[in-house]
Amino acid sequence: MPEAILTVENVTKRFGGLVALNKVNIDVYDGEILGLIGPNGAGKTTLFNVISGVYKPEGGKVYFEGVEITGKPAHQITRMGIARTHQIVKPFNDMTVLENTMIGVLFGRLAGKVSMSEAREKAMKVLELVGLDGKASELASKLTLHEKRILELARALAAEPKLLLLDEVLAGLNPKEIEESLKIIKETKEAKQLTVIMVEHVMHAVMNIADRIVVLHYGEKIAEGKPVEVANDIKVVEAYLGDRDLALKFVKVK
Amino acid sequence: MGLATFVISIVHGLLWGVVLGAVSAGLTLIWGVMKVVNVAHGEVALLGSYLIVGLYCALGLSPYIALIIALASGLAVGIAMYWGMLHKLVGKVEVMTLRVEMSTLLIMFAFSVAITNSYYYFIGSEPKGLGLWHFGPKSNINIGYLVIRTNSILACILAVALVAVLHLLLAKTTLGKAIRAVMQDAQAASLVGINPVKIKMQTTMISIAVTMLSGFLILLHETSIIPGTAALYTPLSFVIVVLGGLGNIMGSFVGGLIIGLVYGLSKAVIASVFNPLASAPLALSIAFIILVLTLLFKPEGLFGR
Repeated sequence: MPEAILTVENVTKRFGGLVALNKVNIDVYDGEILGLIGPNGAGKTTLFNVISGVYKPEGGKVYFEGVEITGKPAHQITRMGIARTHQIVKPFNDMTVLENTMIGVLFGRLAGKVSMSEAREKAMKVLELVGLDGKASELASKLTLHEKRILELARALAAEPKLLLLDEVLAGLNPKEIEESLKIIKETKEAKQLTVIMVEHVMHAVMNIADRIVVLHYGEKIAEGKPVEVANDIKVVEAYLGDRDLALKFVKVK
Repeated sequence: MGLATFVISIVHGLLWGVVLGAVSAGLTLIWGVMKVVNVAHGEVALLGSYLIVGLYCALGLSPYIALIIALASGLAVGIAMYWGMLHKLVGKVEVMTLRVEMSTLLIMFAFSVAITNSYYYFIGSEPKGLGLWHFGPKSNINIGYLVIRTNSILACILAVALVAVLHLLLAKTTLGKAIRAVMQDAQAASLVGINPVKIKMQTTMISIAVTMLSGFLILLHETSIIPGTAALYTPLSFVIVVLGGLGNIMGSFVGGLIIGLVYGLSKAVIASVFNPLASAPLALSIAFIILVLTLLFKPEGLFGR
């Protein structure tokens, strides 16, 4: 068994009376792609927000490389080596693609250790890796949704993370763009030796790319395992379809 | 109105416009980045003016040295203002709400009243200035019928330098990139490793220091100041910042030029065709009509994206 790079231990997060995460336990192993799936409102993005320091959980702990990071400010967690993209893209619109990516370098794991020209070079390399180098001097606001998603990925990669959190990077893209994005994710993962957690709704894509899948439902982990195992888990299919009989039919078909 | 009057009002309008552009820089920064509606902006600028007058008159320091002291004190005042008034309101806030923005307006309003009354109490309402001190060997330069005070020219040079330095700081440096990132999205900034609290504190320091420094420009341009001078510069700065686009240093510089020019020209026109006594207040009203028109038809400002 490889070592866990990230451990989520008994994490509980409430919003008023709503329990968004209920004693969730997840281990993420070094070098894997973990798919995080579940119906809307299952707590996937909330979990990302807890890991990346946007939310402080009411209970439980998060460890990254053996160090507790629960409740640390987001910028510190980023500098330790966890970078993320957003479900709703948040590039800095008034800056160019290159500047956006440079910010990733300047404030990421290498913060304070790189000069402006080094940051520019590193940013260009990342843009080449994701195929956005042709648009380096364009304003981020001028990009298409697909390109903005890739830019967010580039900005996250520029921070030289060890763990990358991808929040629905495929949503709203057409099949060709999805294929392209998956290729970029796979390639960068190999090139940078990353561990990746991806929240995804595009099921065939995540089943295809992930080494393991965790399924959340109403803030609880209801299944975990290899994509095939999870796809045939009655609880999972039920959670998605909501109808036990229909679910049983689906599982049998497989 | 003759040609001479026309040329004179354009030249003086532009000279003042450059100063106005630099005076507004601190406001566009603190309002744009932190959504702090600093209605004490003119009063903070006067803090710089009075400090320089005081150091010059009471201690006999050269205004240039006094200027450096004003800059340093501005950084210190900025730290004090951030931790004393602003941090609790905006430090940890990632998405600004109207309520928070209103709170900053009210706290800055209270601050402006307190500071103005302190001016009246401790300094008094009589005009203060640098007396006969002037830039260069002469106090005036004559070009044909144009008479330009050398202090006005110094104000222009310093204003352009100040705006250029600020612009380069924002465009080229790491700190500048972080400031622009926080301005656009504080949460996204924190998720790429930027500490928004630190950046907001540094923004306040820069804004207040630059504003106090611009007090020297006001002093040079106006010759002498009274506590009420702030009541002219605060509202005009707001007009200029809205015109130039929130957070846009170059935008507010151009906005300053426009307002200076419009003010200078309309004052001359009103004086010649209507009533010289009404020219200043009416010209000021025209500046505010520009504010209203901008908010109605181009709320993002001339250079806003």
